[in-house]
Amino acid sequence: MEKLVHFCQGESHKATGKVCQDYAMCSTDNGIAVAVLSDGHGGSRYFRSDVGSKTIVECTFKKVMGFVENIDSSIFEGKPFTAVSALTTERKEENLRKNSKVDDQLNQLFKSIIFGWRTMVEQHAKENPFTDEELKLITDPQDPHSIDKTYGCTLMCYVRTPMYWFAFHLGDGKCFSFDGDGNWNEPIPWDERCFLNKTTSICDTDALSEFRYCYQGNGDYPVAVFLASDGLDDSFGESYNQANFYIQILKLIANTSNNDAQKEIEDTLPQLSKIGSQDDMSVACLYDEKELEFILPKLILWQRSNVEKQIAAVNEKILVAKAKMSKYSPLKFYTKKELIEAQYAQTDIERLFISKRELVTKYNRFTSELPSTSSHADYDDEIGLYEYKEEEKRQTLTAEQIRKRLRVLSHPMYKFDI
Amino acid sequence: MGLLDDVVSVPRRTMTLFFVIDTSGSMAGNKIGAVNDAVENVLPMLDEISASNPDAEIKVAALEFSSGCNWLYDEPKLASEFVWQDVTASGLTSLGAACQELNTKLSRNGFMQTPSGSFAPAIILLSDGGPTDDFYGGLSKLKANNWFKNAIKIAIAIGDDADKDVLTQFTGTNEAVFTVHNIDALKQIIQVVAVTSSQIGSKSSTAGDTTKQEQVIKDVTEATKDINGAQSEAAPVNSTDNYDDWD
Repeated sequence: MEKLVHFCQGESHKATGKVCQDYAMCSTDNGIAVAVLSDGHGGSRYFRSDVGSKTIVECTFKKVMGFVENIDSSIFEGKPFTAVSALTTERKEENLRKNSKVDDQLNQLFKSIIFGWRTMVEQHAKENPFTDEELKLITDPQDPHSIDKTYGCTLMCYVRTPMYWFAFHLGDGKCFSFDGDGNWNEPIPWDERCFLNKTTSICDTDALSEFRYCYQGNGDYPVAVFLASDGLDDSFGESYNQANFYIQILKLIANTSNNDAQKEIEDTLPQLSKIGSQDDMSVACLYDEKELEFILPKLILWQRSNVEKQIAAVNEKILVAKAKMSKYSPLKFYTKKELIEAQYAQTDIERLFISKRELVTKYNRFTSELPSTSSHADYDDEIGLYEYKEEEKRQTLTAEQIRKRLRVLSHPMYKFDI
Repeated sequence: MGLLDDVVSVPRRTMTLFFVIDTSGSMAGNKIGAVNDAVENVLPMLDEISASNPDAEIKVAALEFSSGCNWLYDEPKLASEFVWQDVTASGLTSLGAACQELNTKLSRNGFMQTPSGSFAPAIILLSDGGPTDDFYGGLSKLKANNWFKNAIKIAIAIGDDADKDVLTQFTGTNEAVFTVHNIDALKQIIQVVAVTSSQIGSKSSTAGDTTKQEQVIKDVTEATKDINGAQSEAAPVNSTDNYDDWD
């Protein structure tokens, strides 16, 4: 197994002089691969979250290594992929699932991580007493966990051993996994309580119930797993954009080297923060270098088919916008409202074709990256890459005609029409 | 090959500002004229905020409600591209239907994108009366909506006949309800609320742990002190300006 890991200060943190509150590490020693990542909370009451995130990563690594060394690995034997959600109110009420030995052992691990982290941050607070300024930021001093809260952070971890693998998560950020068929997914169930800037946290009173996890012991392993803080997924929006970014990393590794990919990640994450979420960025990746070259063509095929889907969506919009425009004849009179709609449709068509041309360029580039055994035909479809045929131009209002008519209708004498 | 080649261009985050406008018959005349005027004039300001904000771009959506409800456009538009179409007043006050419609669009199948990459929306409700339909039925569904729960919600009560209890139910607090008593105050408060909500709503960092709604309320409450004929419902001021004058 090979690793890539990096975390860096976000653009907004640079602007406000805040330290980086993300922390991540990977280890592949002694045949055990572990990736751990944490994102310290940004609110002012969590003023020691940078220490909290470093502490939870170190504590988790230690506890996980102890777990792997001491656990009877046969409890994982033959287990198919199993994913367990956080213990929400609904799940408590439903109580549909009986805990297996694996669940019990993992829950013990989670308890030991929470206890270990609390002990460590409380020790840190003793050795580094809060200043008067810091004390003012503690909003609920009566809360028995008020000290822990100042160190609040999320936690994500992936562990791979020769017999089994498991992953767990508490809070926001995303974990992506790529399998041997080149498919990607998010193996750990999402927690709907993590929404917009709200997240569950290791400092929550009921943190144990907020762990969600997955495991497998039947011999199937992910080829690559990426853990990342929400600074990354907030930069990409849709999950498939983030998966596409990870595929770029895997392609870079395959085409150059682990070192080059590591350097590229170190260069790219600050740029991504600047143009994307502005937040701290962290990513940790473990991958099977032997399997990687086999799935590479499949990953490129996925990228190409992803672009193809986007082209299809753009085509649908082009047809809708064209249908709207076809209703506007140069020979008829239209109200201002109708002309505004026509103007939107016209602008949409222009924009959609620009977008389509960019997507087609990408499609063709992915095609050229495929092995010689694959089809290398450039993208083509009935709608094409250009806006209008001459005949359509004659039958519908042009952009200039719409603008002229709108100027006329905006004259005060037409105010009654608006 | 750079890692950002072939990756979709990383979008700025998006914050959607919703205007929910009462266009019932009682709004006819100066009130609806002032709303049309104010919203049209505030759009370039929102565009400026969006253009100068590295954190997020601002999109605008507008829902009018009278005997039923209607979106001005079938998707949120960038503030720079939103062409205001004057709304006219007639009919009843179907605020319950508006709540249901808002609930439908506050979803990924509606107007919202994935929560990753989005900021909570800002919703500005303007009304001069009380609902004539099943408001609480509509609101109960809306209140369960995660986007709505996290939204900045501000209500502008247009005159003394506005049902402030209903507006308080909508926003969740009477501190977020601002009453206006004349045309100038209405125009000014629309501008202040829209600009403040957009400025605060589209920023990635918040001051301490106060919510964005609390920050907007604080700033708008402060601003209303300088607007003759406007007041915060939570801190009404006795003044000769605070009687209705819509002529």
